[in-house]
Amino acid sequence: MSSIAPALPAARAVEVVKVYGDGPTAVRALDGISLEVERGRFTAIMGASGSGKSTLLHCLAGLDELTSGRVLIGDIDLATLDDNALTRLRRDRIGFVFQAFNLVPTLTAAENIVLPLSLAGRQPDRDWLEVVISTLHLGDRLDHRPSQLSGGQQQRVAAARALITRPDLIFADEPSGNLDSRSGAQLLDFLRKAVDDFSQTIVLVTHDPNAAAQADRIVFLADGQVIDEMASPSTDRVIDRLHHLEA
Amino acid sequence: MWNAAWKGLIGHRLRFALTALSIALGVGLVAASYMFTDSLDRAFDDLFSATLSGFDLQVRPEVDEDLAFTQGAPLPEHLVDEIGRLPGIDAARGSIFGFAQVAAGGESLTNGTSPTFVVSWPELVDAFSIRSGERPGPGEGALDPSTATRAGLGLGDEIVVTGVGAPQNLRLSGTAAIEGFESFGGAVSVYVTLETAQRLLDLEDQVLTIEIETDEPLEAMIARVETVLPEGVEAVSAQSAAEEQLATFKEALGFLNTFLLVFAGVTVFVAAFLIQNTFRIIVAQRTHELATLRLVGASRRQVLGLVLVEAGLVGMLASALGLVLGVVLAQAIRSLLAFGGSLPTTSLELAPRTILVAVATGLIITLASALLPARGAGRINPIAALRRVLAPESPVTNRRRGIAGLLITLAGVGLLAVGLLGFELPVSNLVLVGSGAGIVFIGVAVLAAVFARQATATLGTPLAGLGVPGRLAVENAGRSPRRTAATASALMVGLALVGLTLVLADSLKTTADRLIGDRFEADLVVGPAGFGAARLSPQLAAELASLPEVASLAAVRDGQVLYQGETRTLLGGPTSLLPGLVNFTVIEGEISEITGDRIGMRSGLAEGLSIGDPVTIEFARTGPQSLELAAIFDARGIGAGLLVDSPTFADNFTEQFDSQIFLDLAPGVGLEEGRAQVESVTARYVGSQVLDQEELANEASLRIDELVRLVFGLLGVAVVVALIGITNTLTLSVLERRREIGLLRALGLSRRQLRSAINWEAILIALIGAALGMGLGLTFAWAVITALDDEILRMSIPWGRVGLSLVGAALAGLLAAAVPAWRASRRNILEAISYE
Repeated sequence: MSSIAPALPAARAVEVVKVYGDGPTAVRALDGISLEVERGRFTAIMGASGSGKSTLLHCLAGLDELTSGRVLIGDIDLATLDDNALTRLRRDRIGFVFQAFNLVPTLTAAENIVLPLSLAGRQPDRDWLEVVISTLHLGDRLDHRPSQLSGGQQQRVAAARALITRPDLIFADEPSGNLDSRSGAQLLDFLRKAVDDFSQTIVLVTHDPNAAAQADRIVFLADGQVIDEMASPSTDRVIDRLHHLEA
Repeated sequence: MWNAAWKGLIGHRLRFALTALSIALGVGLVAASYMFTDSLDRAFDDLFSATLSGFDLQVRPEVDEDLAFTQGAPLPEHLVDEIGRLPGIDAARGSIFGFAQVAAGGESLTNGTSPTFVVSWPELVDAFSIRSGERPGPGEGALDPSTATRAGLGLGDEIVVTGVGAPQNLRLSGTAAIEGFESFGGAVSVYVTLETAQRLLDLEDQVLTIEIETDEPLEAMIARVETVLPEGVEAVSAQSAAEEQLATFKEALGFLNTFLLVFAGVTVFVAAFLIQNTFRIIVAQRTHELATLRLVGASRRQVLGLVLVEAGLVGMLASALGLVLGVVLAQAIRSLLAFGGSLPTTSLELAPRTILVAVATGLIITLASALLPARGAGRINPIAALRRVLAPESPVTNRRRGIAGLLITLAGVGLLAVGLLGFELPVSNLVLVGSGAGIVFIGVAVLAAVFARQATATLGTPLAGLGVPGRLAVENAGRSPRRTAATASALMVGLALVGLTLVLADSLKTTADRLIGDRFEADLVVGPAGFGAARLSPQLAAELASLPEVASLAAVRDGQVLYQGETRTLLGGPTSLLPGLVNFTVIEGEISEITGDRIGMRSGLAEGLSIGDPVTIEFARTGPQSLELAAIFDARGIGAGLLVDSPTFADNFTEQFDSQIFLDLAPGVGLEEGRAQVESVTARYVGSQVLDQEELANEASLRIDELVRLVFGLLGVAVVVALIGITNTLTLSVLERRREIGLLRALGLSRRQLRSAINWEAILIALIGAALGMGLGLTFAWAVITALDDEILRMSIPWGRVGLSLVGAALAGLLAAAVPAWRASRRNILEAISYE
């Protein structure tokens, strides 16, 4: 990380277009989006269903190919990478927390947490592992399999896994979407803490104003375009803005 | 219902495709077995109808039908004229047919191991025709076209034919064959005049059969002809002669059909494992869909019916495909069972019965195998429709399964034991042994599910070094124990039979190796090359005996006789010399005492008899003869259980060819030197080969290896089906785990790591199946050898080959994983992780 100039954003999207299908049935999921994800900050992407927010996340994470435009993680243009290089990039420099099915059912919680490191054939940094586990209150659940964990615990294991590699950025796609409100709030607190305490860069995709309010900055999407931004949001301001945008 | 089933089938066509293929292979092998033997039947039918067409009656020696392959007493040639003079007879011709050897330019014209026939020109048989040149006259011979072409012979070239008597130089007059047959199934045929044939086979003034043409009613003519026939000679219509010959061959072919069907049965059995497994997986994966059907009002019976109708459709489609595959497999079997081209070939015969049996097999086996999974589908609770996540495989109730598996296995072992020990039951032993083994397989498969998890963990221990892919492989192979067990069990069946064959073959070989030195005292043994269809001319032994390098020599002949209603092989040879050349264990009497009307018997046959007792032997030529028992012996060097001296053999058999010549070299003559001299003589006698003791042992091994190859070729189909099973299971598992695979890929699992995980999972499953199979195979082999209770045969395990089979199974597992692994690694990650 130190090799990258501090001014450089963690990720950039430049004129990104993503079209699904072709001909009259073609759907422009992303319609020329440009966006910078600032390092060490918590960015939320909001939008209604079909606004293109999940597609944007997939494109930023190198999970989906662009129709046109560029995506850069640090100073690396994803278009220049083949599948192997992309795989390594995701493994070493990106963390994920999905809405559900985050964990490999055959592995224990501990194994799931260190999975990206195991995939790379590396040993976890013991101290950092301790910090992550205690931060997420997972100390007594490490030997359990996913099916033996509650939904909240499962998402916390996923968050721990995302943190373990100290990635350049973490993408969280509706991480609290399947949780009850208490567990959801708890998880978002942890993400906020990761940004504040460890300077972790996080991109959160959500349609929940409460979740988005935890972010430092919110980007609003509609019809595949950025239509608005908000800095230092609060839940009320977000709800207010959403009403405004829908009107 | 039909509509829903059809839609289900189309919707899951990939999942069903491999299942259908496995059933199709089993059905194909069933169909191929019938097609192959039907074609042979048909070929022989055509051949016999052709050779026995154009005349109306045949006069021949009366021979017991159990000795149908042995020639009866020759008929005096004057009988031909006597019959010809009878009123109402248009024509009567004597004919001769026998073994001979043909050479041209010092080289034999043998065609591999096929026999060579000498045939007196069948004037009355319409089906014979001259293809080129002319029919043979005195001093001439005509060859079958394929032999003439192969040897590059032209009209007027000289060929040397050796029968029983001295070799004859004949001029090639042309080529001849039966309509529609280039040769008697690969055999070399020489057509000569009756006089030449008589001289070649030492049958002066004699014929073997007489063919008669007449326009009068056959019944009356048979009666008329019989008035001039001596005792022991009969007249029959040409048609019934053809039917009798065909019936004899059909009996032999029936055995071949049974042999092939056993392997087809094994393949179908293996396929049944896969069908059951596939349907269970598919039902599990469609829980949501089936539960929704229940939710909207489908009854249990309707859901069960839906799955069964799907199974029926799969079975029908697979059976149709199987019939097509059957044609291909029948061709493969034909080349596998070519026997050096000695079987006649025609186009493949697809009888309605074949179609019926094949389709019924496919349909019944599919429905029966799908029954349990279908019942499971019927029991799906409608509430499952509301659950989002696929319920994991219900935990195996280990105790109950374990007990059930154990009981089934024990029942199978019991049946096997009864079958092997041959308790007198009104069921044939083969059926008992087969079903016993089948039940043991099912029992072990049930037990395997109990131990599958533990087994994968243990076998997978070394994979820990591979990191995440290794860990995933072990976990995935162990996560559905029933699925893994069923998949592995299919391979287990194939490998068990491979193991059984390997051990039995090796035991026979090492026993042969160990004993060969004990069998013969002789320095060299001359015998027919190949599978013994060729015969040695007595001239050969006479020539060898005159060599100064040969000290003593014993030529033996063998033929079929009836003893106590059973067909037995009787050996004739110089009994004064034999004890010095072949190792006999004499139990009572003396081998050299077997002279004139005295006989020796193997101890197993002579039970309850003692020296001096009268023994009745029925010969094809001379009928029942009473002989006196002179010796009771055991001898591994000769294959026959009955022994007489050479003159007695000559008196009682029409065919006088040697089957083996044992010889000792003169003192001071080295083996190499003596052998060279012997070979300089045998070179001129086609179809013979010289072997020393070591080579004899090798020869035995070669024969066994040949058989092993045949068995492996047929088992191969079952193993392929088992591998398709692994592919199928993996394909379904990958489909089921697509979300998890997508997650792993998103988190940084490379394509190569993913492929590695799936490959190792397949190898683990294959190894479990192979190890179980080998274990069972070795146990079966032990059981068989113990049950044989033979004091000589010792069990010997070829560890090298057993190890090789396990490695081969692992590699085959890798092969089976190739496509599912590749497909999984190419899957779109997003498709896998999207949940909107």
